[in-house]
Amino acid sequence: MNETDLHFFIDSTMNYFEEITNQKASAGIPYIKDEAPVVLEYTGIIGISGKRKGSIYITANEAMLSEIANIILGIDKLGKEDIKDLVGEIANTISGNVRQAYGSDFMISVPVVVEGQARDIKLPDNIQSFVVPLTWRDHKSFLVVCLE
Amino acid sequence: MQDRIKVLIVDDSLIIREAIHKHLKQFNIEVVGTAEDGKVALEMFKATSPDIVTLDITMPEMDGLTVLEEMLKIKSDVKVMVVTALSDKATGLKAIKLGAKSFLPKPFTPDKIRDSFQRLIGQNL
Amino acid sequence: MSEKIQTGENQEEKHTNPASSDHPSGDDKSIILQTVEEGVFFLNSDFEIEPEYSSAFVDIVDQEVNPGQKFLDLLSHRVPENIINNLIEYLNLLFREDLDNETLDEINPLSKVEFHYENRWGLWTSSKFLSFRFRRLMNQAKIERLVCTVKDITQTESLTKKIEEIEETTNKQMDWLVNILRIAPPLLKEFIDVSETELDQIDTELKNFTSSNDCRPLLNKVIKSLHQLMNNASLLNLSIFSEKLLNFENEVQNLRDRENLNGSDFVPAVIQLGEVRQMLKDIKALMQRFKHYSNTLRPTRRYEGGLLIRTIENLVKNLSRQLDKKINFDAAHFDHAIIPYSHQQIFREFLIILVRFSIFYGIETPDERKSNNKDPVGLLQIETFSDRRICGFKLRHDGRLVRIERLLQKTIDSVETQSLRDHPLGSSQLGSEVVRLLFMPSLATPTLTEAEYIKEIFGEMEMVKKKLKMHRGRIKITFTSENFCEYTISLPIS
Repeated sequence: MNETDLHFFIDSTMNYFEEITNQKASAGIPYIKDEAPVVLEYTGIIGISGKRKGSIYITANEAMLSEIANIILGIDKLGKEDIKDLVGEIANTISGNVRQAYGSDFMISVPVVVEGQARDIKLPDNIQSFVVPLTWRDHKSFLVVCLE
Repeated sequence: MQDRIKVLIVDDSLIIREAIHKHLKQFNIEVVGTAEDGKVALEMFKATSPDIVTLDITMPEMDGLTVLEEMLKIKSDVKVMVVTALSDKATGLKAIKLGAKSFLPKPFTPDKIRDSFQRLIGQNL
Repeated sequence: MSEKIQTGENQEEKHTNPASSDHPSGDDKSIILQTVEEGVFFLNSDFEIEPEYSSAFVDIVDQEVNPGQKFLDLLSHRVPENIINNLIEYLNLLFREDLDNETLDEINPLSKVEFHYENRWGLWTSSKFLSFRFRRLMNQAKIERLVCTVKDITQTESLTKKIEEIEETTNKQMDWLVNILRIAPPLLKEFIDVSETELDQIDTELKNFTSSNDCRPLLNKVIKSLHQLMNNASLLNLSIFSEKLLNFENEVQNLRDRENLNGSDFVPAVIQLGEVRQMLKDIKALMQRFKHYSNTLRPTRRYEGGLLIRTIENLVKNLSRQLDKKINFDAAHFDHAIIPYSHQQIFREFLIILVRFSIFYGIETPDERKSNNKDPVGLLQIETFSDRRICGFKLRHDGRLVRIERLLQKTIDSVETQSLRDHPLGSSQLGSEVVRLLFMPSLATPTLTEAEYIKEIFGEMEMVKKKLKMHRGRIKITFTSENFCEYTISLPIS
């Protein structure tokens, strides 16, 4: 993966927050993922295949997702299924951007939503993964990019 | 006696131009010109009105697909054989769609270029 | 008819009736399609799959096939979009009579394609490499439909890919081997261990950095670490590594020169860090393969000692060349063997730092020396000593201690050493004051154009001081202001 790729994923995610919530998110300094798990309460994962293979996921806590849902839908309390829908939607939007930009050489999977922090998200061992800490309002979330 | 087939060879590599000329010697052809870039190729094309053109895609001044389009505008029945290092299918498809009649990826063997040429002249000329 | 075929009774009839053997009957065709191992199917001019297709076709694509289904739908979400777009063009071209089969074969976008298999939730579970071929079926000189075949070529492709990967890895490893095999394994191991530690540290610092802080100190710290690693790499002539580190350093320097940084701006630097770490990991893996070799042929102590001298010699040569100085290096009384193994690394570090310090700051250029009636060629000597309790080395040169007048001027001007003005120091007091000041970079850093480099060297001297304290070692400096300076470093043997 090169810097253009990583920039692209970060920018897509930032755009999402800004467009949907009218409030900017900020990206912290990216770092190389080690064995330590990077998982919060809800995670949306998309698989990438084709010319290059890999995975991208976004992981966040219920509190942040509830606030975003509140902005989009005006709902105070979200049910579990709605939260999973939302995180899947975020991942889907990022994947849509990926499809548009990298488009025809890539295949993008449907997002898979994982609940809970029980274990780390399995990523390919032979590819370096980069973690991008994100802050929106006071909430921390992570974007993890693993791409050949 | 059958008229000789007029051939224009276009490639930015001298070695390739010479190789194509050499491998096609067995055919009843007259090489009316060789060009190393698109602009010169078009000028020669207008001047010599060849029956067949062997055409590279990646060339300076003007890329091969643009040259192909221009040539077909000038003489719609010219047979163009695209000979190119860009062996991706998309380029080949584009060239054929634009009107080339044959596509030969580099590197090519003498037999391959002869077979391609044979098929080309086997078509109604 | 099928009965005849099954029992073989009427084979003769089949042979004597040529008309019936030219074109298989419906039943024959059905049997052929059931038996053949290739995927076979037909497409009409609307690119729809016709009712007759081989069972192998269904097995290979591993999904339900419905007669009349669009071929493109079958491929949707199984192959990349660009291939599907190209296929649409290609299928149209297949129905053009002016194009020959060979030309069409050359531009077939499905000649080799990675086909993905999904589960019912749309998740990819696996993929295979398939090869589709298309041929035209004529009817009264017109192209009526296409007969298509599909083969599973995964094994061949995997093998080819594996061979390519192995070749690439082998070439890369050969390049590395050329660089690393001439380095003594213990030195290389130490280099890798130190590099890994430093890079892990850099990664941790980046990870823990909160964006509300000014990141300049962090970046300076990173650059300092990188300089140390680059120095180590250049001492060992590890150019492959030096280049990678230089790229990394350039990215960090770019960051340092900018204002209002955000996390995204760190991306190029982090990518470079990733590449350097990956390279280290790969080299380490390569070394593991040679572990047995290196254990069996571990160099003798004398050989290792010789390597250290050569390292210092190279350092003297390179620095002299860079700074246009002429220096004679004498290590005749340096005996590596008397240094306990546990102290060797630290002594090597100290030697390197002091040599750099002496050449940069102490020994003058030939012209400066001539104008001071000195031999234009400077002298740098190292020697070892030991007794029951301590061991160490001396490094002496015939230059100046440091640009002492500037140092003293700064000292005099500083508030901290106000007393100097009122109570001029005697020479021994001056000596210890200078030693003290040598380890105070903030005072000693002059405003010179090479400030960065000097800051770094004084930073290294600070490190020497810290490490000596840690190991209960001592440093003594004996000097005259003009033509003699000797550093004595000793550590307790136990």
